[in-house]
This record gives sequence, C-alpha cells and structure tokens, in this order.
Amino acid sequence: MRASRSRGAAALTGAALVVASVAVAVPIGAGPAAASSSTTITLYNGQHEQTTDTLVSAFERQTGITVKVRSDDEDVLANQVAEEGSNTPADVIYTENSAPLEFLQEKGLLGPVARSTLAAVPSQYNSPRGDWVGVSARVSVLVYNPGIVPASRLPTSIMDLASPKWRGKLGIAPGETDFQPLVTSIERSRGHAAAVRWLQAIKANAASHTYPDNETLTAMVNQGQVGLGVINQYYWYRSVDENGKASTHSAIAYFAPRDPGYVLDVSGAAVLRSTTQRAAAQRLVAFLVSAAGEQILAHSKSYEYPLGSGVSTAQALRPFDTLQPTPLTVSQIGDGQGAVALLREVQLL
Amino acid sequence: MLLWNTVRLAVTVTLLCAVIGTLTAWCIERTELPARSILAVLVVLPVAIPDFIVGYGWVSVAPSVHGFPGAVLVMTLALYPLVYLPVAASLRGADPAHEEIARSLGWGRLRTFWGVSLRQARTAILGGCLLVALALLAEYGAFEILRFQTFTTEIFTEFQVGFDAPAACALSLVLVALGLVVLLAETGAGRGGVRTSRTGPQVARLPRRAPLGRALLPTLAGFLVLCGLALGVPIGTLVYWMARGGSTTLPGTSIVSAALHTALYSAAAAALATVLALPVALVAVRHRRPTTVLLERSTYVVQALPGLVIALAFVFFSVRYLPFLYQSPELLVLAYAVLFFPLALVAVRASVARAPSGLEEVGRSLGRRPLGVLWRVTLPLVAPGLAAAFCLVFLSAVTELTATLILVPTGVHTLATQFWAYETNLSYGAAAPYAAVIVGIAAVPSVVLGRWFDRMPSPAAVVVS
Amino acid sequence: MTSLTVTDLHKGFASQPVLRGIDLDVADGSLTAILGPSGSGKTTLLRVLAGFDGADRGTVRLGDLVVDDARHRTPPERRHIGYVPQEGALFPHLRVADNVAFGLNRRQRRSANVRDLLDMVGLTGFERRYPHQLSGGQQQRVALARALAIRPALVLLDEPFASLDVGLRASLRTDVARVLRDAGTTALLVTHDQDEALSLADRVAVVRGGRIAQCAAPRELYERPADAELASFLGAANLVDGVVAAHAVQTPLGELALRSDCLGPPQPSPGVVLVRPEQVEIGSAGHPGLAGRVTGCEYHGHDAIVTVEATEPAGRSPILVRVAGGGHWADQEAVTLVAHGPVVAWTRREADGPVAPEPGRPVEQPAT
Repeated sequence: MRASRSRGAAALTGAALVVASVAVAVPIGAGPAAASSSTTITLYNGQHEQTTDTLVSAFERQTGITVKVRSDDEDVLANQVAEEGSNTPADVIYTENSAPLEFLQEKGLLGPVARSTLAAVPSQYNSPRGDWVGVSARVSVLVYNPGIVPASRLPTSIMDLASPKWRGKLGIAPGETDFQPLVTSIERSRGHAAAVRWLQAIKANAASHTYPDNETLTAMVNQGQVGLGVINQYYWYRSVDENGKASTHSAIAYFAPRDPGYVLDVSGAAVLRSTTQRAAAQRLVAFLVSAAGEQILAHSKSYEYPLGSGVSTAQALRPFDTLQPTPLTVSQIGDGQGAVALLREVQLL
Repeated sequence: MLLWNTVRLAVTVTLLCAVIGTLTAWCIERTELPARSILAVLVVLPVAIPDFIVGYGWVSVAPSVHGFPGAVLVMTLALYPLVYLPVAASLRGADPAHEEIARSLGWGRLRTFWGVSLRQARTAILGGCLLVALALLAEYGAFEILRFQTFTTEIFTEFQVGFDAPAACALSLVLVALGLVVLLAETGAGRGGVRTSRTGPQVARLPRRAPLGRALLPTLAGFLVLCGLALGVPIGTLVYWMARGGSTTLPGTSIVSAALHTALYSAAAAALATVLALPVALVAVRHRRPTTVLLERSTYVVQALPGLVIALAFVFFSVRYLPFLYQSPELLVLAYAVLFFPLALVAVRASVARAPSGLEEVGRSLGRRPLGVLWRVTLPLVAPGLAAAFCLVFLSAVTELTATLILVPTGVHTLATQFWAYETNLSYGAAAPYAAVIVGIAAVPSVVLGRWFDRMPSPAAVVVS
Repeated sequence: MTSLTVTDLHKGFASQPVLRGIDLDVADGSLTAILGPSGSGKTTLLRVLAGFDGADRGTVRLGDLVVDDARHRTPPERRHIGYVPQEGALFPHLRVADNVAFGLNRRQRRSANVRDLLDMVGLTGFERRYPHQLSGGQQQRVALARALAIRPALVLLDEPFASLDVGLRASLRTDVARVLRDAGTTALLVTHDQDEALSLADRVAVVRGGRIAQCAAPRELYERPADAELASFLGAANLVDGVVAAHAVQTPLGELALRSDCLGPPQPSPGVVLVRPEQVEIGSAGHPGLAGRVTGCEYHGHDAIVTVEATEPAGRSPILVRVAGGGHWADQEAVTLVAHGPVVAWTRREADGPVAPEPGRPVEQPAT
C-alpha cells in the first residue's frame, strides 16, 4: 500500500512536471490574440478599468489598431516605467491623477503630445510643457453619514475638520494619491505652518479611523463607522451603484466656493518618449480627448467630468461649469512630493 | 516604531501559531478526538485563503478589527497551519515508545506531553515558526487592510506615494537583516535538538491515542471556534458578496480563462521550484558542510522579502539584460519560483532527510551510476516530498498578487489580478467569484498537502516494515 | 587465489582515527567473518571496501585490481561488490522481483535469473510482494538475492542477522552460509556475535582498536588466541596464574601440558594460562585438586556454567566450569577442581603486574 502510494505520488509529480515544463517551453497563451498584420500598441492603465476597457474597444473598432492593456495602481505603473526606462514596452500611459505623469515628465520619459490633441482640452488641464493631456476630472467633496452628522452641521471649509469636535467622527485616507492635492492646496493657501497644524489636528481627530484608500473610507462612512471624510465625488457615486440606493446611508456635500478643500483632480494620458509606434500612440491619446472618446466617458459609470472636445457629463452630477474649485494648477500640484514630505513630517505616512 | 511594530507582531504571532499549531496537531494525532480526518482537512484549509481575502473578510465583518490586535488575530488564523503541518507529521513519525516509557517512569500526561512529545516535535515546531516569522516580515495585503504598519507596508508607501524606489530598497535591506536574525535564532534554537528517529529496528507501532474524557467538549468547541474564525469569516464574507450579486459596472472577463492562466502559471512555477529545490536539498542533506548549510539557509531570506521588491528586481534585471523575456509568462513563472523556492525547499528537504542514504549506497553497489540511483531510488523515495513542494508553491502562486500585477504578461488576467481589479473598484459582488475560485483551486493542493503530512510513513517504517 | 587484499588501511572521521592499519587477505570462495565489539570499526571497513567511503592511507585490491589506494578510488558501481546492509534496506517502492533485478540490465532480467535467485534463498513465489509485506528474515533473504544477482566477485554482509530474533537468526544464517557456498561467492560477514562468526565462517578476523588483532580458522582462534584479551573476547575463559616452562605450566589446577604448537620459555617463569571452562572438571570435596566453594550457577539447558571460588588462597578470581546437562551443584557446596590440557599460556611482562587480561607476550613457537 505504502509503496504503491509513493509510486502514485511519483507518477503524479512526474506528470505535473511534464505538463508544467511543456507549459513553460511553449509560451503560455500570451493574452488576447494579437493580429500580426495590424498595429499593436501597449497601454499602461492606472485608470479605473471599466472606463479604460470601453474606451479601448471603441478605439480598436474605429482604427483597427490593437491595444494591449496592462492595469495596475497608477503609482506602481509609474514606478515600473521609471524602472524600465527607455526599454519600456509601454507606448501610452493613462493615469487617474496628474502627479504620476508629472513624475515621469521630470524623469524625461514622456514625449510631447500632438498639438491638435492638446488643443481639444482647455489648457489649464494639460501639462504646461505639453507632455501630457487632461482627459477627465473629478472634484473633492465631503462624504458624510447623516445618521451621525446632520447636513446642517457640516463644515463648509476643509480647515474646519481640524476642530476637536470632529474627534472620533472623522475618517481619513492619507496614503491615497487623491489626498496629496488637498495637502498641496492647503499649504499654498495657508502656508506651511498652518498646513502642518491642520494635518496634526486631523491626524488626532481621525486616530484609528485611518484607512488605506478612498474606497474603504467611503464604505466606512456608509456603514456608520465614521461620520465624515473627504473623497473625490466619483467614489460615492460608484458605491451607490455597487450597493444600491437602499443600502446607501451616506451623502456628499461640497465645500464653499474656492475653499482649499475644493480641489479639481485631473486624470491624463501621455505618449512615452521611447515608443516605436508614435503615430498609433498619438492616435490613442487623441481619441481619449476626442468627442467620441469623451462621450464614452460622459456616459460611463465612472462619474468623471469629461474635459475634451466640449463634451459634458451625461450623469446626474453637479454640472461641471457650476463647480467652483480652488484655483490650483496642475503644475502647482506637481508630482506630489511636497505633499508627501509634509505628510511624512507629521508621520501620516 | 516600524521596527517595534514589526518585531512585536512577528514574536506574538509566531508564538501564538506555535501554540495553536502544536496543540491542534497533538489533539489530531494523539487523542481520541472524533471526526479527526475531517478536522485534519479543515485545520489546514486556511492556507488556501489569500491574506487579502482574510483581511477583507474580517474588516467587513468586524470593522473594529484593526491595528496590532487585529493584525495578531488575522495573521495567527492565517498562518498557524504552517506550524500544524510539520508538527503533525513529526508527531506521527515519532516513536510512541518514548512517551510510553515516560509514563511508565511515573510522568503524568501533561509532563509527558511537555517533556517528551514536545521535545520530539521541536525541530518541526521551529521549522514551522521559521516559515511563519518570515511570512510575517513579507506580508503586505492584510496589513494594509488592517491599517497596521510594518517595514513591508512602509516599503509599499515609499514606493507608491513617494515614488522612491531607492528608499524602498534600503528598507528591504532591513527586512533581509531581520530575516537573517530569524534564521540565526532558528538555527540556534534548533541546535541540540533531539533526533526523533527511531533507534531500534522494530516496526513502528501506531501511537495509542489519549482519551479526552471530560476535555472532549471543550476541545471540540475549541476546534469549532478555530475553524469558524479561520475559515468561516473569510468564506462567509465571500458567500455573502456572491449572494448579493455583482451589480458591477465592470466588463466581464472570462473567469475560465483567468482560472486557466492562474493554474498554468502556478503549476509551471511549482514544477520549476520543485525541480530547483531537489539538488539544493540533496546537497544540504547528503553533504552537510558549513558551505552547503549556508547555501541552504540563505535561500530562506527570500521569504522575508515582499513580492513587490522581488518583482521590481526582476523588472530591473530583465529589462536590461533579457528584454525578450520581459513581461513574458516565463519570467512570471521564474519570479514565482524564486519567491516560493523556500517553501519547496522545506518540503523536499524533509523528504530527502527521511529517505535513508543507505538505500542509495546499495543502489551504487548494485552497479548503478549516481544519476541512475537518483532516478531509480532517490526520486521515488522523495516523491511525496516533491508532491508536497509542488502543492505548497502552487497554492502560494495562485494566491499571489503584487508580483503578479507587475510581471504578468500585458493583457493577461489571472484570478488574482481580476479580483484586484474589481475589489479596488468596490465591486465586491463581482470580485467574490474570483476569490471563490482562488480558494477553490488552492484548496485542492491544501487537502493533498494535509493528507501527505498526515499519512507520511515514518522513516523506519519505510525501511523495515 | 586471493579475492580481496587489504594492506595498511587507514580511515578516520574528523581527525578521529577509526581504522589504523588493517591488513587482510580473503581467499577466493571463502566466507570470512569480521568480528569485533561495537565501535571497533567493522562497518567502516566494510564501507571502504564497498567504495562508499575512501581510504585515508593503504590499498584495497580486488583480485589484481587496485580499487582504492587513497588517491584513486573506483566508484562503488564499478567494483562489482554485492552489499547486504544491516536491515536489508530493500527499496520500499519496488516489488521483490524488481528489488532483486535492480542491478541487472534488461537482457539479464528477462532470463529466468530472478526466479532462480528467489528459489535459491527459499522465496519462490514472492516476486510480486512489496518489502513491507515481508517478515524481517524474508527481507534479508531478498537482500541477499539482490546482492548475488549481479554475480559479484565479493559479497559484503553487514550484521545481516542482528535485527532478527534468535530462532530465525540461527536458521537464516545456516541458509545464508549454504547459499553463499552453493554460489561459490567470496563473502565477508561483519558481526559482533562470536557464535555467529565461529559457526559460519571459514576464517575469522578479529578487529580491535582499528587493526586486525588475529585472523585464523575458527577452531584455531578459539583454542589458540593470540593474547589473553582475545581469549576472553572469543568466549568464556579462565585466565589462571601459573609458572610457564618449556612444555607445561604449573597452575593451582594442576600441571597442564602446553599445546604442541606452543613452546614455553627455556627457564620457568610466571605467566598467564588460558583454561576454557570445558577444560575444567568439577568433583565432590575430598577428591584431589583445587578445593573451592560453589558461588553461582548459570543454567543454559544443554549445559551450565558453575562459578567456583578457591578456598586457598582467598581473593583469587573465581573459576568457571562448564558442566554438561546442567549442574546439580548446590550453592556454597565444597568442591574440588581439576583441569586438563593442552593449554595456551603467556609469560608475564612483569611478574607482579596485574592478572589477565593484560596482554602478555605470546609464547607460541613460530609456526615455520
């Protein structure tokens, strides 16, 4: 018995080894079949996948160019491109925030975006150096649980969150890339010392309600674990989609006009300097900000504001032209390292 | 602060895992516990559940689970099988005669357990603790969800928010140093460990099982609580989300294709790691010298490094020197094999150590060359260990996420990357089936593993009986 | 013709010498036993001969072929030496027939070889069993058949019967000796059991302190050991003080003739005499001889060993007497002892030195 079992195990192992080595020897199904006749480009995608996938299929249908999509967190992708340098397989990178694009631009890894593409988007949403183009935007808001914090008692400025009355009621996600523009904005409008004081105060107020990302923060407010927090508005709309109206126990509120907490975040795309498929890559970026591309964004459940070709969102969002965000430029937001240094200073990172 | 967090967590969880793993192993191997065979499978299953699923399950069930206590709870429940498996195997292989002699010399049951059974299992307990401690050093996903900061989470922060790869790598060096400390501690504690093998030529008798008596109900209750916490919470969460249904806005990707890719990559990696582990184990066991011991131990350090760091090293290396391999399936498989090599080595090494070298000598004397003996004698003898190594690496690769995201071929989805895509978009309902398939695929080798460790014939039984 | 020649073989582990100059010749077709206490280096010797370990110094020759001269070592698989380890060490994953055929190539395996070998060791019809389905003795028989299958020039057996119970051991070792002789194979058997060595082997080599203390036919070894320590090691022995003369020894047990192949010193001098218990006769008190008192009796069934303490002078070591059919001697009974020659004796290096077993100088005449 024992011997036969060990023989069985040997056969099993042997078979597994054979299967596996064959699998290694023969390149394992390398994803969606790439038609060799047509052009193929690679997109590093840090944007939410649902948005990107719809955009890419429309682009492929329109142009016949095949796009291989690689999705990961935008910061991991940016680091990966930095590591890959000029050998990167990526032709286009598309991120949720402007900071990773600024980071890659400083490293000299981005090539210029076609002028006609840049012209489709109001210039304040593009890279001042023309290395990347803004595709969509969203805005920071308060998410709150009316069962804990009634709408009438909500703060109108992000600076008020430093008040001790929010102790135990405030949740934060300081590790989230969306958090850095808020810090930058506060530092620019109120100065370094005030920004440090504010960070220390909200750190004390949040205490253990410190979450890894905005998704978790949104869910926690919805569950009533905390009373309120600052997120980008689209997280809340998506959580309503996911949980259904019946399970939604939270709401969002906007800060006062031009409050430092009222920040517009821009999602953008760029062509890598090292691409060998420059024309196709430029076509993809151009498509993202074209009327066709922006219409897809406008109708998608990503709940972002389209920036290009004059397209407006089709979703029931507060209209883009009525937003009154703080006047913070993308180059002021930069690659976010100033904000990171501040966050480190108060040990929130 | 980071160091303190990392060290106290490693110490606390390792000790708890040692206690829980050893107690469960002793109850299953040495007492008249009812439904032992079912319990033996259930207590092993938690290794099949990825840490990010365990962490997520807990946070969604009990949001108050966080910080240090939360990390201790979740990691203990996720990692104790790493102690259970080797200890159960060693208790099964150890000679019950020693325990009987102790009892006959007037030692009580507790004193016998403490003084004899535990001593026999010492090497196995230490080996399990080593794996637990190293896994804790490298853990990321669960801690991020549980909001607990360690060196590894800090590495991720440096890397992701700070875009600071050099700082991340410097921190990794601290992890390597901690890993070395753990290894030294294990080596030091292991020295002077008693050999548990049978000394006489007699055939091993099956150990007499201790009746539990009045302790039966509390023991059973303990097992129920353990399984409930370690399996019930994460699986319950998955079932809940699946029942809620996926009202997701995400495009559907074929779960079958993702599962196939996952299984294929993981199986290839498992085979590769196993094949690579065999010569290292053979050299380490059969030619024991300071240099070979160093070679063997040094491979364990990899286990203390987070997948992210190793994946980036692969990016750096392959992009510069092997560009044609970059983001190829082969490179991902190789990365998995390197990441989980220590696991393969542990299993293969145990098997090689059990295979009597005398058999190989007899093979030589009968006119077979070393390679022939390796093929016809050694391999069949260590086959169960190879199967175990294959299973361990396979299930680890199936549940791996960070290295997969970085190295997976562009355009290919595995179960883990797909789960991640949905999970980061709050589409828990859509993510749940992928998690369920991950657990399902990983459960198969876990059960095989459990049975292997459970039934592994003791060394003397192979030779004599 | 000599099958195996070992010359000045040294082997140590971690600077701890184990073999310190082994010299050994094994004649073709003979069965030689290597006898020695545990830890004397017997197994080390066997492992060097088999080629599992290399010699530190010295040479090992198989026939005319040097297989190890401490510089070059023929690997085990090219020595053609059969090896039967302590517990058989059958391959647990192979059936009996596959175990036996392990060393054979495909063509050899097809011939009826395996069945013949199994017939020879008395295991006809066991081909399809697995090792764990066999008893200990059966496993040893398979191991022997496996070693013989390759028609080895030499078979090494490492304590092959040590793990078996007494009855099985006796029958199996006779069988093994018969099989080996039938096959005409030269064999080297390592054992720590004197009975086994003396009853089975053509020659017995006693290992002591890493050297061969004596190598001789069993009868010669037992009756004429090279020194007092060997005498005690090979069986129950009385080492009695006496005065050694040219052809006889004067002892408290009477005057005993020296063996004809031994020659005492020209001048009578003090020495030690080996008197085996079966050479001593016990009688009731009053008979002529050494007066003493029974202090113990070890009963063996077919015979018994009676311990007698001499009355005068007190303090002398007790004398062992073998009594056929069991002793009817009561404890403390007064008896007299008489011994019968011929015996072996050694002169003392120093007259007042300790009594045996301090190794004395052999007084044997050169055989030539």
